Amino acid sequence: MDKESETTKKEIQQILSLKIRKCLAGIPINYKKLQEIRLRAGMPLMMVYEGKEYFMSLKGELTRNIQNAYIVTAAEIKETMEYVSNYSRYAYEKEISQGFITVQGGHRVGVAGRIVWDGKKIKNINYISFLNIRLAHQIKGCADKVMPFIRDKSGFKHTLIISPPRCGKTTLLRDIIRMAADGDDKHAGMTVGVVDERSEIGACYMGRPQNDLGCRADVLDGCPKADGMMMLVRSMSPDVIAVDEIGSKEDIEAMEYVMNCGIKLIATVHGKDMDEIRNKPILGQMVRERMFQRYILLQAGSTGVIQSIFDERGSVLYTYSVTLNYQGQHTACYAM
Amino acid sequence: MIKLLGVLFVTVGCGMCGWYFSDRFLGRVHLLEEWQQLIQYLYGEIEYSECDIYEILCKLSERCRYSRNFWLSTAKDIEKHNGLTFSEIWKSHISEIELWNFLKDDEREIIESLGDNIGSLDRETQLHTLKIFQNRLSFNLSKAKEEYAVQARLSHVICITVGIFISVLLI
Repeated sequence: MDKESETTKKEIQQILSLKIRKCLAGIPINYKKLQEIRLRAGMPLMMVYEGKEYFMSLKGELTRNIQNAYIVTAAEIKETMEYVSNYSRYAYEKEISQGFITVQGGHRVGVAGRIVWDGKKIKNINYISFLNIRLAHQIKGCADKVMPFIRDKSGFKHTLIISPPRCGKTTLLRDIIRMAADGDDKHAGMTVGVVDERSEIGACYMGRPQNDLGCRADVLDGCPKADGMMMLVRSMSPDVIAVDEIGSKEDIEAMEYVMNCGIKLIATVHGKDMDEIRNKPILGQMVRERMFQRYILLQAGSTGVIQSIFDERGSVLYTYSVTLNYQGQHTACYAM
Repeated sequence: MIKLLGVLFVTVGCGMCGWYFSDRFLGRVHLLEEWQQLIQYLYGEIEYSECDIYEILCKLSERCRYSRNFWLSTAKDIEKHNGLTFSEIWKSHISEIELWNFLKDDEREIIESLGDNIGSLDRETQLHTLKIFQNRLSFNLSKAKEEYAVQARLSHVICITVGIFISVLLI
């Protein structure tokens, strides 16, 4: 087992209850290929490994036979939650109400149970009976093909990444941040301010990003996007500001403010094509005013496939496909 | 001359005993005062910094005199994730508090049960619970101070009187 896999194993094992830890310890797996571990009270212990779902047995075996599966108890979920929250439930209330906690290594523990609703928003989740541990796998280099279009001699360009959910836009954004912050032989590194409202970009644990965001990235973790952008402009003098999943009126107003301050902006938004973005009420206005200089469109229905890159006029600059896998290899590539 | 020396030794010895007993009352007051401050600090940390309990315990260990080892050992065990609940870890180290035996049963019970109520509650309930514990300790502290004022003097007087009485008997 290589060092990275060993570290991931350690990070995952330390948040599981003792018995589940024992089940997992006996299974000879490559943690780089482990995607999810699912715990449900009174249900079999499951994992998703190399895209396939397996049950785990007490003997430490992966099986497809539910009869051999280890059944998770409510007490084990409680114990796991104690470890996940570091015996500090109060400190993770906001995260729990959002449905997940980020743990060391950037892995995410999704939680479900009985919702405490205060009439306007989810206040808390009680009787947590379902946990989904999703392992973080940063794909370094997945933005290699994109960088020449969004960064040239004149500098960085205002960029909007567009894609439906689960198509890899946050992964792409993360790698763009890393490459912009680190720089390379031809481009100097830039100070990148990251507003990471849901801890998805940096996956911060105790304030420190668990994903590599480069040496010149400053991360505001758990901060509302609109407030965070303003704070960064005033306090951290960034060259570039990166935000994920913009949508509200406040976000877009803050983005306009950032763009008018001489700071470059890179953002992601949910959408399936350019027309859909143009038809959004406030964001559409920004598109029509050509505030963004580049649009990166990811292909719906697949993960990490870049469909097209457009400039501010909507002209196609390049269309190519790059399929990202967990080793960060480009498995398909064509130009137009 | 020897008798005089003997009387002196006995009286001073008994006086020392009186001082020891009164010191126990003072130690109890000091320990309760320290815990009241610690709970206040814990309250502030949870309310404003929302730090993990591990971090808070490490900070607390630097801010106290009698409970330093207790906080450090508890923090160390928390990191191990060894199958114990917070309450079990808390109780397993409680005897490491200096002057622990100086406390009365109900005061020990308050500090022990505080461990049952840390870490597993949501923020609002956690803060509310800490307030309750602080009020309980505050009540016990004022009682301990009152008792100290009376008992300290009483133990001095009784012990010196006993010393004189023994001396008279010996003579």
